Amino acid sequence: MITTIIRTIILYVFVTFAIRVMGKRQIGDMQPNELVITLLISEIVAIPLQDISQPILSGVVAIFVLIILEILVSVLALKFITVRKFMSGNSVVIINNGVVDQQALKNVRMTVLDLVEMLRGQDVFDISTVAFAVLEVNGELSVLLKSGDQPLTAKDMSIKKDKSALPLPVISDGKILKDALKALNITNEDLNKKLHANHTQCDKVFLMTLDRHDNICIIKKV
Amino acid sequence: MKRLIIAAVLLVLVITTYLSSFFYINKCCNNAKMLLENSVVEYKKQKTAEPEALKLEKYWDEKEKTLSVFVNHDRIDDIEKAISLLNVYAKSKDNELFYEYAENVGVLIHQILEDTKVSMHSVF
Repeated sequence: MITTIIRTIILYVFVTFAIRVMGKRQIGDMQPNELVITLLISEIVAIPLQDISQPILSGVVAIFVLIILEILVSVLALKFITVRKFMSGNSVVIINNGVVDQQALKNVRMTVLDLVEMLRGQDVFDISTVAFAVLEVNGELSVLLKSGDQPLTAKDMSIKKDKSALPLPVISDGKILKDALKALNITNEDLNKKLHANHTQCDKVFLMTLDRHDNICIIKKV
Repeated sequence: MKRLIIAAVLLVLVITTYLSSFFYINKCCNNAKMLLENSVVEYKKQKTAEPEALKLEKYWDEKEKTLSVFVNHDRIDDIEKAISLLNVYAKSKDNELFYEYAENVGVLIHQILEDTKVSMHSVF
């Protein structure tokens, strides 16, 4: 029993390392080769976990080889477009200039109902408003609406807006996040002044966000 | 670049692991084979090979812990059992079972050695 626990901990560390090296992506966002490697890693790890007569090294070495392959393929895919096409395939234009390409739909083995469903997933409920729809290599549909159906923007109305700034969490559960203070280029003293101005203290704050324009949002602890 | 360095480090680790396991398994198995052959020669000469069989058993006991890092534990245990029985039969004179178990141990060691080599059989 203790052997299984120790083996599980060791393999957990290696698998976490493997996934971390591969990059932060969700299953749905993975390229085909990344998905294959993720599936293979989970299968390989299961063997030494279930069968304690298998040396753990065989599983670890296999994980290492998969990581090496993944990195090599991703580097080659960056350098050579043919490798990228071979490993990931091409994106396919499904709706071109407002016209559904039926042959392209057949080629990607999609029905028109699948297309309508995917459009709904992109908040597009009327197919006639779509100018272009592209099925990306990760299986997601990218949609460009016809110019008349695109939402109105501030630019369209010639309205000048302040440059947007990214609000960063500076206090989480009463603890100051020093990296965020550094990113915003402010000191602890500045933060305390802002807290004082809002009639509160650091240990009473559940969440505080701050941006470069001094916009503050404070959620106090209950 | 960072990812390439990680890949290079892992590649070195994999190659080092492979080479060290290859040489260690070969060394241990060849030594065990030699001790086994000595036991058989002694048994043929003197009709007993207790000291040689004991040497083999002791040698395998010493090496099995490290070997289990690289080789399937069931295989190592099978060899250990076969060597123990060989030791029992090495004490008795004119026993065909000694030769049978000597052959058995030889085959099991040979199987481990075969697994370290790259062949059509091991790959596919």
